[in-house]
Amino acid sequence: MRRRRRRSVGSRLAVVVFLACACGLVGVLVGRAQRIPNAQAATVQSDAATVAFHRAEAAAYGAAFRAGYHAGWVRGSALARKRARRAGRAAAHAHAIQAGALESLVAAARNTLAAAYSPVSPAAAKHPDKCVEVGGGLCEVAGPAITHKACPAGSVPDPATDSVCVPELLIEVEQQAAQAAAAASTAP
Amino acid sequence: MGRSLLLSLLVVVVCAVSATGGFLAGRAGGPDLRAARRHGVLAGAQAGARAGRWFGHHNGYRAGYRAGYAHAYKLAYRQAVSR
Repeated sequence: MRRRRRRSVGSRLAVVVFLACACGLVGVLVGRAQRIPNAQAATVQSDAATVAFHRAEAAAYGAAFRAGYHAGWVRGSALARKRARRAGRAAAHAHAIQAGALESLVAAARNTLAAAYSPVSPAAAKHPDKCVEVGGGLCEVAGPAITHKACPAGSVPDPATDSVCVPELLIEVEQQAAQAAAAASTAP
Repeated sequence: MGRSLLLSLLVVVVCAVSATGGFLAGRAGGPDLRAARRHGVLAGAQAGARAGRWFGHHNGYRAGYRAGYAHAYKLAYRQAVSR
């Protein structure tokens, strides 16, 4: 009687253990099925990173832009001042040279005109044949090739033919005009 | 009758505890969504701040440089020419 009772208790205990194990196994299987997959975790991490990236970028951009703007302004201003001073000085210098050359040209032209309008001496007026027309209403003194004499003071023989004496004043005017033209072409 | 009911309740409790433990054990070891989100936010915020600083500074520098250059050049050129 006691042995049968023990056997009954043992079999009941075995059933309970079996049930407990079965429940535990089912729990393990269900829990494994409910486990979060790695792909979902990666997606969540990626989405969170993207959102945080845009927010942080927008937040940091404004302050960095202002700081960079200020730094760029300082740097650009300094460099621009340096270059502009140099360019302005060069322009002023070129302008001064041009103005000086033009003044010289005007002065030379005035001198030429003054010489041209100066009164002719009676002795020189008696020898009109000494003048050689060179065109454009200009009449120059005959040169060494014709008179076999040196040119009068203030004039030099024409290097090509020696047939006329060219006033030095005209040569100076031509040089001044060439300088003024060169300065005007190089000025910015 | 009372003893049988008590034993049955005990069996149910044992089975429930076993199932819960098995469930927790089976689910353990997987990735943590909170930790993943936290990690993503941290990494994204750092990278975003770095990128924002770089782009902001770069674009701001260029814009400021251009504006400052044009502004200062005019003034300095006029002053240098007028002197």
